[in-house]
Amino acid sequence: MADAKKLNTILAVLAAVILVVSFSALAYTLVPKGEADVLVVNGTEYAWADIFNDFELYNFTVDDMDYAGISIEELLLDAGVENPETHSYKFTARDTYKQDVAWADIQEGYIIESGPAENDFHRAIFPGTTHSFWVYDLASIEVI
Amino acid sequence: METRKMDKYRMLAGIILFGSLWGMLECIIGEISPSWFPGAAFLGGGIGLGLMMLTRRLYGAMWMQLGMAIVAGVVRFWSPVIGTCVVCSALAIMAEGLIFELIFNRPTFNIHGTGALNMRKPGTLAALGIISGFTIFTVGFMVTQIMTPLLTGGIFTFSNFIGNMPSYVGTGFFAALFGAVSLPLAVLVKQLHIDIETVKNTWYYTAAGGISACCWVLVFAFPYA
Repeated sequence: MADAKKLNTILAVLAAVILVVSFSALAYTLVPKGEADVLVVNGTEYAWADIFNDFELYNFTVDDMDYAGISIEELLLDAGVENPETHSYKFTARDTYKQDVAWADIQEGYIIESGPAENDFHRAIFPGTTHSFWVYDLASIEVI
Repeated sequence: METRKMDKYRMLAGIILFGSLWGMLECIIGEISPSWFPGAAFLGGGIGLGLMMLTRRLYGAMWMQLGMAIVAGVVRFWSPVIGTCVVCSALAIMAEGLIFELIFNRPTFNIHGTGALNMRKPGTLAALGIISGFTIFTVGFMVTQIMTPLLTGGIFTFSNFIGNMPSYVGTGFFAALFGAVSLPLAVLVKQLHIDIETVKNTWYYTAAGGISACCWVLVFAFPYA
């Protein structure tokens, strides 16, 4: 009986710790980091309000969905990245979610302002990759 | 924990039936759940854990749930859903099954109902649901994050994996909550005195085969509906 009581206590404490830690992590991801109105590319700031007017907008289709977005390759070249084909790139969202993307995928990639899905907001889309590489609510692109 | 002696063909049919159900729900709920709803956490901590615990109670057999997870993973792999790494999702489901076995094959967590220390109290079951729901989901999530870049030719970096840890752990909060409900419910279903072994062979195999076939057809037809 004593063992049962001890086990119940251990389970309750462990469950409480899991709830507190996971809720804290959730709260951390829900608080956006970085500035909402700019995208930082290789140290250069681009205003979201202007970026879709300053760069050419391309129409493309992925998985039977139609999008319009700017070329990530053109954006990186504009930001002064030298020898871009020799690098990989780290895409970071405002919730700190990160993905590294190779140049081959960058060349086919776009950033959209909005799209059909609810999380299609300031989203980097790489047509040749699975959706887990598509970063939404984009905050920055770093050269690595 | 003792494994109950049951007709191996009956158990195999159960593995296919519940694995197909799980896989079908993974494919369909995963696709239709709105972005505000933590669908993946519901599938791992709610549906996956619930079905595995339900079968553990109904059949009383260890390692059956890993078999179910493998069937569910194969169903997920078979699904013609586009845009996601189906191999990775399938592996994540199988990882969830393995984690379940590692937790619930321990004599301490015997939910079989024959020798548990105190595993029938709702509070204890809810706590165990939180722990197992969280663990099963987050491990499955991490497996996906590791396997997706490796299997699709993408870039996997350990620093990103660690940097994204708040996302895995944070989403696990919902899986823990779903687990707190699904595990006690699945355990309590036994109170309905359902005994799989007493169901007539004709009924049992017909129902298992028919429901499994429906699940596979639904999964294949759903993207075209």
